[in-house]
Amino acid sequence: MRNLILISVLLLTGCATAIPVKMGFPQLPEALTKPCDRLLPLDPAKKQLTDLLENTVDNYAKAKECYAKNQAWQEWYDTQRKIFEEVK
Amino acid sequence: MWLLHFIPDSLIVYVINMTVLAGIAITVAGTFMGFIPVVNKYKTILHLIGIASLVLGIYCKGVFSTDAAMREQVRALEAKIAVAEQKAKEVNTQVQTKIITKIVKIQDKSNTAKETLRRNKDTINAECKLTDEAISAYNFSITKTPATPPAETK
Repeated sequence: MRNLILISVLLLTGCATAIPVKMGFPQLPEALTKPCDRLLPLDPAKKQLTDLLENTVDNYAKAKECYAKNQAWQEWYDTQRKIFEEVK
Repeated sequence: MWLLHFIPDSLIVYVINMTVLAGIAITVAGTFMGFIPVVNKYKTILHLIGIASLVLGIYCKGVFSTDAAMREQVRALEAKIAVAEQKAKEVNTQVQTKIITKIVKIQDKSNTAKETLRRNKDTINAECKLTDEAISAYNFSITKTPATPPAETK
């Protein structure tokens, strides 16, 4: 019986090893590494309605870009998570 | 252990199997030797050698099969990771292209709107001029400063 236990213990010593493989964290696309642009205030010297409208158009464009970046971030994250989970 | 990686697997398996078989053979021979009067005094020694060889052989077999299984797992995992990394790169390219296309479209639209405003500048500005309060209220909504809302006009 003692011999059997000894043999079992000896055989088990070869089993406790972790697999030495690691997966690197995926790189973020360059376009998503930059933060969203801040909205621009209107120059107080510009008092015409078209100045305000131009500024508003610029700011809308910045907000839309930010929204698009946010959507891209979510898409990137969801896809990368799926890829990562496939490896497990 | 890493030195074993330089020896062909088939040779290692052969040596291990021979050790196990030799262990069994020596143990069995020792048992039969116990029945022969002249040589039965060697029974214990043969048993010891046989069992030691058997234990060593089985231990090595366990280690080798575990090592082989792990190497196989590592190979499979490395292949999976290579595929995943390739997919991740493709996704990055797709996301990058998509976002750049969107940004270009947004900027084009913004430029078209601004051009229209510039073309119709005189008509648009004819009936309206912004007051300081209007500009201040507008800027208050999109900037951090001023911290307090603009004063109301009386």
